[in-house]
Amino acid sequence: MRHVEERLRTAAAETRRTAERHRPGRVPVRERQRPKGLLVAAGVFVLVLGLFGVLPLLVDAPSEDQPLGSAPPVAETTSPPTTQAAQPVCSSSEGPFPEADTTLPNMVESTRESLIEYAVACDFDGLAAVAGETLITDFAGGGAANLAAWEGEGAQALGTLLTLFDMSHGVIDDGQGGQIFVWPAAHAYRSWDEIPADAVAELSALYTSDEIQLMEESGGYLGWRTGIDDDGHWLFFVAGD
Amino acid sequence: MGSFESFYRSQYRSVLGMAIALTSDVSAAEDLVQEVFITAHWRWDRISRYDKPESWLRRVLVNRATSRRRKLGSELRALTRVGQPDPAPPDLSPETAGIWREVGRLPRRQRQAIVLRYVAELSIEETADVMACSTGAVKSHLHRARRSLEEPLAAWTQEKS
Repeated sequence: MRHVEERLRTAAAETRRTAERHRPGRVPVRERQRPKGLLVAAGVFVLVLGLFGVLPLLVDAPSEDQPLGSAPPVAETTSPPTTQAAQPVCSSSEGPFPEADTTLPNMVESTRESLIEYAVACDFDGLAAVAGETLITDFAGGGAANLAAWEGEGAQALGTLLTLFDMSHGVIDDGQGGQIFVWPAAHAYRSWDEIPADAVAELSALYTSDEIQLMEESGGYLGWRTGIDDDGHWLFFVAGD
Repeated sequence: MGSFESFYRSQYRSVLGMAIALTSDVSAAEDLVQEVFITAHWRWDRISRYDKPESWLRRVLVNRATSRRRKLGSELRALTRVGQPDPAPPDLSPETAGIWREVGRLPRRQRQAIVLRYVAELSIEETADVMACSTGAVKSHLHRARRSLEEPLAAWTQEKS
């Protein structure tokens, strides 16, 4: 294998030299797309400011380039009344709001964080963007379209997703040398007897004791589950068996 | 917290080299690197607090390259049906381009290990950190990769001679 090693090193050195010839261009910057709920809130906030005369003050505020002493006269201000922004409401609106999980690999936590952000905002487009074309939500594949359908049918899919991400996770092999991080942790065990007591206890956030009893009798966890692979791809979110 | 611009300028060439090896195409590599830095910019508040932001960048790069390959797979299959020629990477010698094409045929984790170890010149520990696996797993991926490359590279050399 010695010649392979040498040829890899030679190829790598040439590739680095090729890269060295390329100068970095302008710093790449693109505005991040915010969840729609936040945009609605921002819009309502600006409208309220405009209606109550605060916006002109902000718009006419002196810029850093404006010479000293040229500030506009101070106008009388009225405190704007507090207004509730019109955010979309769905089963995730009341939480839970899972905290960051520093034990997860960065790519996995990054995807989990995005899913939480979009679920809290009831942003199905955002969730679909994270899901891509590979998310499995039913036996036929399903994709992200099922999320809105389930929510419309009262299945509380987004609230369930947040509840799952609020639980501890398990890890399973993907059969190709990679790993899949799954919620709840109970889904990572082949038989009910192997599931630690803590992982069983947290299932009560989703299921009644009778339902948990039924799963125990059937020999394994049968309920809602979701998984993200170590590349950060959201792989599945299914209602269970 | 360091500035994003200095991070971008200090890391650009390093990740571009990796991207070239992963894509065998300099233009595609540049696009991939831009995408990765845009993602880093979005999350700079958080990434800049990591001990090694460059590890995060490399991990995103190798993962994005995998996603891109999946997507390109179907596009290339469609192009092949209409007789589109295979794009040649003009900035690399035929020998090096051929090696990266062979590396590109390896399983995902082996491919990532090769690029991180040889092109990015990371240690086994650093490679394991980027790949989020053990050092033993990295050694295993590298060993299998080199073994898998032995035959095609030898055959290719014979063809040339």
